[in-house]
Amino acid sequence: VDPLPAALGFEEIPWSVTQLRRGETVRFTRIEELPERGAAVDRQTYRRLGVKSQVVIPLTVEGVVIAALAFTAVAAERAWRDEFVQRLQLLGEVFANTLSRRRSEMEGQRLRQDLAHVGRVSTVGELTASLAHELNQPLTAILANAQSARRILESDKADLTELRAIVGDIVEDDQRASEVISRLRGLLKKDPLERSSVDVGELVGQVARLVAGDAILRNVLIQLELAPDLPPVYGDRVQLQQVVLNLILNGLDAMRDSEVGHRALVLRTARDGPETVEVTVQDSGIGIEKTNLDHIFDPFYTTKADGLGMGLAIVRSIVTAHGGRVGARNNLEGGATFSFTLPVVKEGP
Amino acid sequence: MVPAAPLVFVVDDDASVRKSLARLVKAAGYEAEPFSSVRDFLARPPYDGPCCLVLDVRMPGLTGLDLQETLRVAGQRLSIVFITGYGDVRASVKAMKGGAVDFLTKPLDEGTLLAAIQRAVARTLEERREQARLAEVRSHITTLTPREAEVFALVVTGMPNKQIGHGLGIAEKTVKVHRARVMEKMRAGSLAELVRLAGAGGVIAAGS
Repeated sequence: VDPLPAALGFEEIPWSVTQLRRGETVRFTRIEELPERGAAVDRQTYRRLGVKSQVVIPLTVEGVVIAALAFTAVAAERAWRDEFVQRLQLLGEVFANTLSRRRSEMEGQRLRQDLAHVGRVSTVGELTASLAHELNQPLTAILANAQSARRILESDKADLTELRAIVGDIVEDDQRASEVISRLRGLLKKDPLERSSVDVGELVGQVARLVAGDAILRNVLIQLELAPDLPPVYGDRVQLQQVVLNLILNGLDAMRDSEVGHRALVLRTARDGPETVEVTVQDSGIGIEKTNLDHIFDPFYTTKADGLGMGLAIVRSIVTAHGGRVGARNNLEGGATFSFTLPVVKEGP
Repeated sequence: MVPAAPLVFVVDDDASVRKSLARLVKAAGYEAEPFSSVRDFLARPPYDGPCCLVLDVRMPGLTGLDLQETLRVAGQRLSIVFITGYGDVRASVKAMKGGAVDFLTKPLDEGTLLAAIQRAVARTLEERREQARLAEVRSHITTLTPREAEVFALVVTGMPNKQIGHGLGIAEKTVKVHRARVMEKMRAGSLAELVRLAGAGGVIAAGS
């Protein structure tokens, strides 16, 4: 018998995974004890690996199963006594506590990593710094003008001419603030791009690996459905990574409140006509409210309590700058699908 | 004659900010004079009345911190309220060490700004009074003869006349005469006052 692999793919033991996700212990002395139809794949996997008997305890942190502890008999079948299983469950609790602490550490690390991704795309950093300063000036003026007007109104002799001038300036500064925002919208387009031939499938795979740890912590199953033999596109690799990353993080956020076990993110690449490649990110989250569909890519438009409303705006800016289109729609079976297209590299000179 | 309201100089390269702050300051009862650069402000003749400076930190050309340094070197007492669009810790430390009254971040809170301006005007006045007093003491010192200056320096150490005379090689009676002249020229009514003036004027006792 080959040594057991350190980790099994979820898809290799789907019935067991479902049980564990519900917080239930998987316990069998003989493989035949597993339901014949429901656990057909599991049975096959265990047989292939030479597993005779097994107890698997889910490790639960704050009501969410984050890992499992397995005890496997491979030489001979073994009957698990209740007392033994109870002890294992106790042990599982101890493990879970330790993991819980480790998990908070990992979340801190993840946060730093996320920030690092964002920092990599200098345009995003510039966007924020420039935004803060350029908006600050008109905001300062608007505030000081409004406060002056209030003081003048409260005084005995309100000077109407002065008040009119103040209101005129407030309107002007407000327009100036709006111009800052529209200039920022165009910022990504104007930036010189480092364009090269990019394999979209490879790029999606890279980003998916980047967020794999994050997905596990969030109990999200990421599936890749990459079309073979896609022609390369022409673009800035880092910016396109940012696009995929933003869409994935967006999808993960959308599934924050989805039922555990129903959190799946499907990343697809496909050909969309002779000269276009399409990437879609499909989640099983809360979906998009009809009224938000038209604005979801607008800057500062957010439905998240802690969101800046920049993620999807950046996606659109980058994709548009690459000559592509973005799209968002709700799935019939729930959740949303975001997509973007990119033109393929033209043959010949 | 009604005393003029304190004058607030507003130096900011941003036209909207400059104009609106000048307006706010006026609405709060001050006089205001806006400047678009440090250079423009320095071209203005110094103002003797009660005043202060509301100064942007970052500007093209000379910065707010440059102006602070220029004023310090020139010995001009003009208290500064710095304003900035950035939460720049290094600049704020430098500004405060340089004697700034406050360092405020835009957009400005009306109450905080006006309170800082009030303190800055008061501090400008106080520092100028102190400066004038010092100048007066120094000008009195310049009227002393070399011998009177020597006697002054020794008297304020608390040394008796007899010993001073011995030290300078003159008669005790002559010391008494010099001493009376010093008291008169320094406008001091008592030895204690003379000692205080010596401290302000930077007279260091020679040979002690």
